[in-house]
Amino acid sequence: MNKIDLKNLIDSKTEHFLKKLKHAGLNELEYWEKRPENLSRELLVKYIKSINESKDYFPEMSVRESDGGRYGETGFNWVFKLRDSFLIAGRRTEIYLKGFFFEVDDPRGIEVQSFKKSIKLKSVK
Amino acid sequence: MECSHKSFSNKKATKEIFDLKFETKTSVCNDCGAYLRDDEYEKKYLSWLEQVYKDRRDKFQTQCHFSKKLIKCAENYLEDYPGISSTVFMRALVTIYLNIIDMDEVKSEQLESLLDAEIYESFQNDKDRKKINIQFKPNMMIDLIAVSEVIDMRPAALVEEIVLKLMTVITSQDQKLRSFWESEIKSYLDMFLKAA
Repeated sequence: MNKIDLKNLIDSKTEHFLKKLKHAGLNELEYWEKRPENLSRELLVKYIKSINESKDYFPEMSVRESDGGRYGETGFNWVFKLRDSFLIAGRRTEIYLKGFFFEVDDPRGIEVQSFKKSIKLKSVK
Repeated sequence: MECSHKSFSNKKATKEIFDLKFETKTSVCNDCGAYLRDDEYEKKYLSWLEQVYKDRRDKFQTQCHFSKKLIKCAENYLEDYPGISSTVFMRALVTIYLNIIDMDEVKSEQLESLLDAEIYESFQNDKDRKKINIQFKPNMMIDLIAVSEVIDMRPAALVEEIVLKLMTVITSQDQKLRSFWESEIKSYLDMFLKAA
């Protein structure tokens, strides 16, 4: 996808979120890796590549707290939080991902602040 | 509480892999210790891995043990590909599995549902086994390590599992598996083996 198409995709109000995430993440990815709590960048890339971009998904959105970092001031001012799953060697793995798109004036990539196995809490009677 | 990496410094971060340490300067979060793997970091990391690949080829090998029946089946298949060794063939199977099948939920679930348990188990339970070292390029090796870590398996065990699955597809006479093989794998394998 060329630079203009990617900009139009990320700015689009009608395109699916996961499609934006996939193409922006494959173009430019900044990942805060913290092992062993979080998963590796290699698995993040694997997840991004495996995204079914036709799937409709509405992530939780919130205002970004941090304005530090390379894209702190120029990145999108909302953070997405999503829970999804993908197959790793045939095994379904639930994941949680938090990050934001950058930059507002030149939309082209994502910064991922957290990428880890998602834990589903069991209800206690 | 999740860290948003508000406060960070540019300093040396250490990444351990293959019992070796890769060190480079990058942004390190002052609150949680996470370090930034951006494009610049990746370039340095891959360059370091290429050097390790030159100096320590053993780090990029997986020592697998396969059923002699499976090896024989692989050799029979390779009669149409003169000059291709069974280790190159097995490396191709792993590469195709991780980059094509495992990236596509439909293909992956189809494969799992169609696998012929009788053939798979005959390869898996065969006591007559042979050791085979399969060597991978740096990019493929770090992917293998990442996948094997998260599913709590040794890289060699993961390679064995993948080769067993795909050799089950290759050797089965089941019509649905044959069709899966023809439509989803064979063209990639042909391309890979011709380029090898």
